[in-house]
Amino acid sequence: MSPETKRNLKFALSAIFLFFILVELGLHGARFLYRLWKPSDVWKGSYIWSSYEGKEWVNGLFKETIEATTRGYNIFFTLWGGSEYRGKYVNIDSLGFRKTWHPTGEPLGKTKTIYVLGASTTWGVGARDDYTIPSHLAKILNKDGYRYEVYNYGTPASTFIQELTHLALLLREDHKPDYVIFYIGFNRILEAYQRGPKAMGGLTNLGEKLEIQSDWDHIWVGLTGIFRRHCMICKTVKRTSAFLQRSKKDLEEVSSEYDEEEAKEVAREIVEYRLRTIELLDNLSKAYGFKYAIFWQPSIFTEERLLKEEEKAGINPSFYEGDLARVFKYAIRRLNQKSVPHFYDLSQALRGRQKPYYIDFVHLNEEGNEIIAEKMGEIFEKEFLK
Amino acid sequence: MKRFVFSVAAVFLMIVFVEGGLRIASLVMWHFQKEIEGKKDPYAELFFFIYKDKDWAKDHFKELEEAQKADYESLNLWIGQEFHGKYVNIDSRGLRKTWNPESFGGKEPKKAYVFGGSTIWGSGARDDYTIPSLLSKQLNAREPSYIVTNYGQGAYTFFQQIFHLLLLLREGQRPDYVIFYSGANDVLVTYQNGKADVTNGPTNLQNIEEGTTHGEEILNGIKGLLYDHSKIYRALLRIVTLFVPPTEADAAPKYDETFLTSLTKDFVEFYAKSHDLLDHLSKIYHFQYLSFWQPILFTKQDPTEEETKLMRDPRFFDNETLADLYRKIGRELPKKGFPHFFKVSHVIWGNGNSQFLDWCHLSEEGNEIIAKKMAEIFEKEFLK
Repeated sequence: MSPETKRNLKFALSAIFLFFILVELGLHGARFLYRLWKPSDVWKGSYIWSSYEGKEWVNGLFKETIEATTRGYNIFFTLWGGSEYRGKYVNIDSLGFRKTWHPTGEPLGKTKTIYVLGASTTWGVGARDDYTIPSHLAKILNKDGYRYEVYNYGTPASTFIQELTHLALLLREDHKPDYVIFYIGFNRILEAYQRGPKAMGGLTNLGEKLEIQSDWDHIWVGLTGIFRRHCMICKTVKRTSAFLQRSKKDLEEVSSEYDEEEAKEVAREIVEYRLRTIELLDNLSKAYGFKYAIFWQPSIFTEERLLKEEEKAGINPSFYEGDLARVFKYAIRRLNQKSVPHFYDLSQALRGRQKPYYIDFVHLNEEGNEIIAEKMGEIFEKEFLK
Repeated sequence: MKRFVFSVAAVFLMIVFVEGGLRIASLVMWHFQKEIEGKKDPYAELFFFIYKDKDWAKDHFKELEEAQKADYESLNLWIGQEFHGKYVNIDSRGLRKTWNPESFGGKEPKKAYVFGGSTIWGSGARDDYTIPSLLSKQLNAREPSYIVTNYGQGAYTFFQQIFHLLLLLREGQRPDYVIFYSGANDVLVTYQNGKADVTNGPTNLQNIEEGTTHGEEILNGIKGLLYDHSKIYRALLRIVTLFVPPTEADAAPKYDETFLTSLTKDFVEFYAKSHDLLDHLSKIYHFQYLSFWQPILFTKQDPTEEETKLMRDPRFFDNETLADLYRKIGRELPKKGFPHFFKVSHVIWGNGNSQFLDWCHLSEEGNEIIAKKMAEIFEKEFLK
């Protein structure tokens, strides 16, 4: 190699290196300035912003939600959430559970306790403490007097089996609820869709972390993690490629591609798995003397029609129309055919809506939560009080 | 520039030479050690005392090491991976092979599930000589009527065993009898954490989830690589250990009498809650159960000379404190009158032989004594 070629090569390499550094710095700077200029837009990428039209508290709510849900980790259930947190809109008690609206004044006779178990939709992502589903339910059931204490045992990213194990642990700890309500559907289907129908670790990937075995794996995970987190070029390339390939599934975790028959089979296995969990719940309810109701939550995947705002903001129609939606529909159809006791399908509860209640694929805004709680209250009264 | 290149090359060469020298030294030492195998490591010598006349022991421990890999199952349970050896076999469900009669003469056998930690799984014993296998031999001695399944998994506590059972029941499994053998892991986690309500067993999964940043992840990988491949790194580590005393966090905890008493009270309450859940499950799913409190070395009244030496090995806990806690808990639990609870912690005393391989695992002979006692109680409780 001649000295001149060497010089040119050195120059070219340095120029490329410098170019990347400058682009990276430029992107970091642009993001910083954008956040200074329009801090409220940070959420716009993740949620259907129009669901919060005119709500000035929404930025505070999401800031607190993130702070509150990234603090603790309850290892036994491989669930997250769990450390005490005090905010204006989000409060978590010392036991790790979301604050629920409680009536003031003297109770009318002996109060009954209701435990509501579920994932982040029950916990109340997107809603202030007093407007989560359990809080709305407490308001509805205590309208003409104080009879019920409602507890929010929602833990983000959990699935039905984890929630049931959670209940078993509470029962073991001498908790004696009168009624137990499960609000389920989304996470289990997503988990089964991603990791197979028999998976039961919830959406947290602790299992994968434990599978890191070789020293090289540790180094690789660390390096790729740093890049994923800090490299703006990588993030930009990823987003651009996702944008250009909108016809394909762009949620990286959704990797399965099932044909019609496979989707049916996955749905069948999900339902079989769920029925076994319901049988265990039924047995526990008899042994511990509580009554229960299971509600299947609505989600974008079971809606027949999306509002324009829902289509525009954050929800990829190709994802909505994809295999996951198919598995959802087959699973709920199959569950309804099975006539499971105390099981209620609320997947159509928001049908015919004229304004957006969804804030993403499955979480609802406070008005959406209220509609669900009203349906729950109605069924609760019919099932248990009449 | 030339000087700089020369200096870097010199440092690199020096490292290569030192590394090479240490490797050769270690190879020579290893060769020399082979002649006097066992003598250099007093712990290994004691551990292998039990196996001195057993020609299968060497292969068995090799297999044991290979077989001890687990898959994380979620809900804080882990299950062994399939393994097939001469002495150690784990089936596709992750369960240790258990001796059972080949046929039951056309009759439907009763199903007995045995839960426990590594002592039930059978660390130190061949497939046919684990406690569940020996129990199966005892129960089926007169007439083949029982099929015993070993649900032992390394490091499981009583609490985890019950939740494991709960998941099996959910799967539709219906045992007739369920046997629990616990104590060692339960008391160990209580001792390690200084509190009784520990749900994740002796393995600290929480650190995996909470403790590692990306930087730490890379550092752990590099440390691991250095530890595996660099003699210099190992030599340096040894030197550091010689001069730097263990920090308070590393030291085995020692508790005073008052704290031990309160820990005992908390443990008994925690254990009682698990027992209560088990009792409920047995009624819902119509199985009968027995819960055995296992022996540990530190509470053995008549340890042999080898076992006494084994007790002096201060590896990861303070023997006296742990023994004290175990004794206190062992005294308090029977007072609670739990149904179907039996202490078998004393049954291996008094025969003059060494039975412990370490602080809690038993030899095959020790397993047999325990299995015989279990069968005796099983018959008395359920068959008479």
